Amino acid sequence: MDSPDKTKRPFRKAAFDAKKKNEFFANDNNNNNKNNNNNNNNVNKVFNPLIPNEVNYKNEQEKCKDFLLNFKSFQYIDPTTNSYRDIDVNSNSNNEDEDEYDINNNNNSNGIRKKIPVQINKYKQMIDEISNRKRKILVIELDDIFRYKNDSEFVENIESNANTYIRLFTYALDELIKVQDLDINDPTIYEERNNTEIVLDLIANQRMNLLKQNTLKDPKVAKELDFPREILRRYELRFVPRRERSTPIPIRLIKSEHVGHLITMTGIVTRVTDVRPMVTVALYTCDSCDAEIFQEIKAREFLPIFFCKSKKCSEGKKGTLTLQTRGSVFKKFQEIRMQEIPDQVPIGHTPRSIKVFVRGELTRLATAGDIITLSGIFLPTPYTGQKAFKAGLLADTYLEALSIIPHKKTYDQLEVKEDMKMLIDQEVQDPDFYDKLAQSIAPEIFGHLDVKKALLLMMIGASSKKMKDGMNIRGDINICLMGDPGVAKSQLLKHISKIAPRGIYTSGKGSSGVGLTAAVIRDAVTGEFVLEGGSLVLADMGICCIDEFDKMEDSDRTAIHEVMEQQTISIAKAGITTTLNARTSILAAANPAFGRYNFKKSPDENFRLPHSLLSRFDLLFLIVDRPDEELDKLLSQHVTFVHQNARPPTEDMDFIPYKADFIRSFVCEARKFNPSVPKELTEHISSIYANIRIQESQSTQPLTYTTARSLLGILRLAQARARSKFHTEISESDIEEAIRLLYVSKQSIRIEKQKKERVDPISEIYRLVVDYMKSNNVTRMEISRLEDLIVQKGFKVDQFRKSMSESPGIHMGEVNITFV
Amino acid sequence: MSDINNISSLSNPYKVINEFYEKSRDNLTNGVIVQHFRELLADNDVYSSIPLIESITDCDLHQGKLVRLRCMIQDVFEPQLYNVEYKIKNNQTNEIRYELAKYKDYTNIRENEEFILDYFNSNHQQQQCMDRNVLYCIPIPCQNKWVSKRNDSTTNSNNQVNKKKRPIEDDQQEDDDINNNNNNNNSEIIDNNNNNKKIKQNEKELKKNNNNFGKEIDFEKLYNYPVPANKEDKRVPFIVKVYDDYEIPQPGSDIPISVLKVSELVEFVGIVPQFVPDDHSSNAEKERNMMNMLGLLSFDSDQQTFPESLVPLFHCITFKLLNPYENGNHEFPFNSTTSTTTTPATQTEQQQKLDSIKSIRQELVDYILNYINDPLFAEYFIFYIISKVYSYNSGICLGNFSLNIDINCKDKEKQKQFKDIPKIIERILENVVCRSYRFEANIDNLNDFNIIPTKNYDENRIVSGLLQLAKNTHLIIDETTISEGKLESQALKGLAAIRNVSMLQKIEYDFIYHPIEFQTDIQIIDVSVGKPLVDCFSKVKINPTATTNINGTTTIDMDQNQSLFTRLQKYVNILQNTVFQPSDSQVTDHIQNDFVSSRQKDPNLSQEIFHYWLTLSRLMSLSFGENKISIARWESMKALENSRTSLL
Repeated sequence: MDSPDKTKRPFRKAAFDAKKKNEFFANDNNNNNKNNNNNNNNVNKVFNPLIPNEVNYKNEQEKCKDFLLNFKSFQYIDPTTNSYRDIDVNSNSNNEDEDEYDINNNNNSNGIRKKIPVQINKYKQMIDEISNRKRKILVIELDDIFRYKNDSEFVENIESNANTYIRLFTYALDELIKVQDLDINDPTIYEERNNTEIVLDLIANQRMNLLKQNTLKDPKVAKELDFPREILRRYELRFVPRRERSTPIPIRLIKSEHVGHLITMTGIVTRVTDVRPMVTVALYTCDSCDAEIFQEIKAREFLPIFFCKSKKCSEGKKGTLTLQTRGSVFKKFQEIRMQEIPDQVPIGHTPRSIKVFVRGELTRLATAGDIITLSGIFLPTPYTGQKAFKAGLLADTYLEALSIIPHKKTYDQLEVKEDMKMLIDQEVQDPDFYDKLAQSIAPEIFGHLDVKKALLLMMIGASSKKMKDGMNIRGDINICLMGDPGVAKSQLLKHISKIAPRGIYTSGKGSSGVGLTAAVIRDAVTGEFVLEGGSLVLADMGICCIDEFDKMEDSDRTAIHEVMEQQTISIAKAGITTTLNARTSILAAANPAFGRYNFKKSPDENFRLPHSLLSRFDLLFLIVDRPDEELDKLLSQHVTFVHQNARPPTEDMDFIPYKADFIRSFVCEARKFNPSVPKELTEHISSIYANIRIQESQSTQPLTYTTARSLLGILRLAQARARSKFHTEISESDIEEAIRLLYVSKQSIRIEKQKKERVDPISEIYRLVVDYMKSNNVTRMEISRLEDLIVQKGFKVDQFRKSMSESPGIHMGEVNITFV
Repeated sequence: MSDINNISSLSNPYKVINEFYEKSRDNLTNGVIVQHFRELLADNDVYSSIPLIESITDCDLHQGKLVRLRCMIQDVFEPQLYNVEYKIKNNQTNEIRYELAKYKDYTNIRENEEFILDYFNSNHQQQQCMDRNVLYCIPIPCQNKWVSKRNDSTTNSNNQVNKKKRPIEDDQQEDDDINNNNNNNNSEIIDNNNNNKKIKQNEKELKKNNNNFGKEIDFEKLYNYPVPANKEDKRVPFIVKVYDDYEIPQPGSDIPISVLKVSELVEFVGIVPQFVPDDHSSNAEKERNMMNMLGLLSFDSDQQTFPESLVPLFHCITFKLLNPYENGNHEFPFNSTTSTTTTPATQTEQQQKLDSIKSIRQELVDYILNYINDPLFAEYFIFYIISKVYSYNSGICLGNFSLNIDINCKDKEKQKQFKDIPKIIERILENVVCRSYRFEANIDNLNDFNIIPTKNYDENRIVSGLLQLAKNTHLIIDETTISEGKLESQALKGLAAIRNVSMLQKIEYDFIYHPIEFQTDIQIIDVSVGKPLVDCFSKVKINPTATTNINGTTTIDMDQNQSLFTRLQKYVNILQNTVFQPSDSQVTDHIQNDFVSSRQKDPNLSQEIFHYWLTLSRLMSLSFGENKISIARWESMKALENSRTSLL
């Protein structure tokens, strides 16, 4: 990459004392580097990683060469996508692999099995492409190297001394990539290649020819004319770490023992510099003898050469040198700083960060604020200048980037470990799994089981459907918790935002500036307008928990309408008009209009939120804090216990609550299912819907507002419930559960309204049974049938059994009730 | 361990370390050195003879000796890579010598010598490079005077010796003597010679530097204290390099985590290296010779650029975390037998302690009444003083007792008098608790003062804020000075953060891309006229008939005062470190039933109030020197609450 402006930098006289600190980083270029025509020995130091001296470089280089030439793999050319998959033919135990690829391939091409296995030399092919200037990046997968000869020592050497092996591979490639003979007068060569490349090739060609001719005449002169191979290497060499070894390590664990190693890590980018050209080979011309002098530069700084060293000049008056930017080689260079992501930071600690050097095609892949996974080589770099003097023999460290993968910001691709999968599969079998899981959400919050169930279903969500005409039906479930102060709403919200991947907690009132939606901000450096996403945008594909929903800014409230149904945010500010994705579930918490729920007023007056907004919530929980002797007793016991023992009581729960990690993995697994509504159920659903509508029209003070949206809501909840059971079809019980939740969500006021006493589950179950039989006009029923029915209503099996055993009219597994 | 060894360990630790190093190179990394010093420190006499340093002058006096440093970690910098030893080659004789590089920043390389970076040397191939942690430590913020006085007294015996201000030449003589006796360490002598010659020069340089920097550098910004330092405060921040960090595996994960965290109070024992003044002219020259192609791009101007003349370096050999609830009474933290932090006192011991202080309660009440004649206030104020968060549990903190004092009063004259209350509280706290600070929450302060600690990515450090305080710091929010004006968004965020601390004892540091939550325990007392800006756990209205006197109504002479203060300090200290016992089941049942029945009477009683009652009754029992809640205390708490709420 050329950059003319570099010439304008002033050069200053070199007076560097070679005996001083920098000599410490003595040039230890290894013997193989015969081509290295390093004219400057004092400054261009490369800090080499530790290698025991037993290693035979020549041998290792031969290994590299052998691998590059002889590694063979099958490529399946997929006619639909033109992409290919590698199959390894070198190792013997590859049957499993092959099967796996078969399946993959099958899926990719939608059953069109037209695979043409072609055995190719993967790397040989790439090398050919590079020498034809059709490829710029050579990616060497360490998995391939391992498979090639199962030589784990060799691969481990590469992993622990990556920088050296990059060099060895480069030397191997130098031998493999030949500069082709090009005739400047041949017009065909101009057609094949693009123009900038051809110029470089021709120049290189000429130099090679000159060198050849001169070598025949006089080897001494030839030596003078020799030029660094770096000029010819117009490709980037990268390693891809082995798959099983590439689990990212936290930044704080990167230590001195990792120096020289290939490491992978995940972090948030906090700073990036501009991309600048960095000189790798400097070319000088002499003003008296016209000799070309090359200088290969490996460090960030270099000391320019001033006097010609050619034979001609050394005999007579020394000519001065001028740097030629056109002939020099420049590379793109960028420095970024990565910081640990919050999950990796242990409690009470501050996040660590690390410096990363990015070169060539890897530049501009990340901007500040991105979360990326990066692999590279951990290297020390000597301090220079005043720092070197100050810091003694310390070395600063950095990571030389080899690959950057920006994170797909959803955790849908969350990797679930095998053992976790096993555990989940095992636990799903447990009939109480749903209850247990719900109780594991915020275990220290007492009660609220149905709210927790709803929150669990929200995390799982339904699948969003895309219609043919481009319309999107959202699958995310929105829930609003409305309740008296002090019913632990905020705590539930915070908990959810922590458990859920990409969960964001925000307050409707508190966040200013960027706020909930998005803001146009003037960039501090460039002065351009840039768009910065607010909480809703950041929670795309996640859950956005909004506290104090009722106290939200008006401007945000208008935007939230759009977010909650269309799941997008449209912005027209400061000349920027755009639509951002906000595919997020919203969990809102609000206080009733008068601080506490006022039973003298209608529900409408109490809600203080516009209808249009309320209808967008699939569930609106009303949690009213009423004195209740039994509940209060339990509560006071709970609180006193926590106070006196400084931990939540364990005996309350008859099981160990699942960890957040487990819930996250479970949700991730459950989301892979896509249950559909079977035909038999459609009628059932529509009749339920119609029923609710009728009931509502008859009631004077309806608690719910059932619209078409509610129907979708029921379906969504039912689908989430089916997913939680890993079912592929929605069953009737799923629908019942959805409707039950809908009913329960308003129960607290309903009970108050009806001045109903709290009934014990046993008599409640009995009442339900009688009601059911009445409505169906039967007098006899099998207990097992009833059991399903009761469990659907949210009771436990043993409660039902107990109730039945205490009730009259039960014989031989049948219920026989005579109505009075 | 011989006495001679002890003395040289103290006066010239480098020499001792070098001896270890000469015995075996492995000693540098296997912890033997740390072990040696820890054993040494376990001896209380030895420990107390080690000087405590806090200022530049102290550093100059004790260069190269074993010293102690008490501070709060303000920021944790990126770890550094360093060489354990240097390989140095003499160009003339081709001799190769190794030199210790741990605990050092500079080497003495002589003429004709050069460093060899020889990683291929098979003898020493492992552990050439190690990491060390770099911490930015500031003097413990808001520390009250009596604490430092007490610390002085513990080290008094030694300070007298050291503060004789003997001529530097003597020092050199003595060191040389020791060296000559051992005469096997040539480099050491040269080291010391150079060292001492430089000291005088250093001092000159220092003055020069100080003068130079004084104009250009904003000290406040450089030092980065949570609260502005007193101008006369000679204490300086230190950059502490920790070599052998104690990493403990965290429960639930196998990743070892360092115990050195932000806002932690630590006592380091180590060495202040010789100060080599920056030779600006020659360095600049050198710098210019290099052509830095990418100089503009680098972030290297980050963290290590503190002028050493202002922020000295400290090489830590060993350290101990300080218990923030100990009233600055860390007499011998390295001695495990006397340390209260490591061995919890037995039941009987604790009971004895509690019995011994029961009578002091009345003294404290009298002392408070002496200033503010309101018994109700005095009660709650005592609860506030001894409160401490004793458990953080999944989002809830227990034991927090932030207090709001409402001084609203119809009588204008009285109101004016009451405006002194924050200052009075400050005065009382200064003498009773170890760390306190009064923050004037007026419009200007709120808008301009850094309240939330924020990460500055340009400088790669945490810019401190008011809330970056150590645990057990009593913070007085003085709202009486507020006037009409506009609060900027920063002020609102700051207020929200203070509120968060007041209610949940949580502070979220602003890391720009995301906040990071820290648990803390800053006792907040908020004095407001009417409704407070900062919500507090409890609220007391000053009785309008009460009288206040900023100087106290009865004057007590100084000596008497001193012994009173010592007793009061002891009272607070013991109560804060008391392990509270769960009450008997009979009492528990009573409490629970009481709550249920109260709620039947008044449906507005929430869970919150129950939580509040429990905290209050705990503190009340504690203040009377009881480590269990009894039914009587519960009832008196309810009575006290009634009289409090009736005034509101």
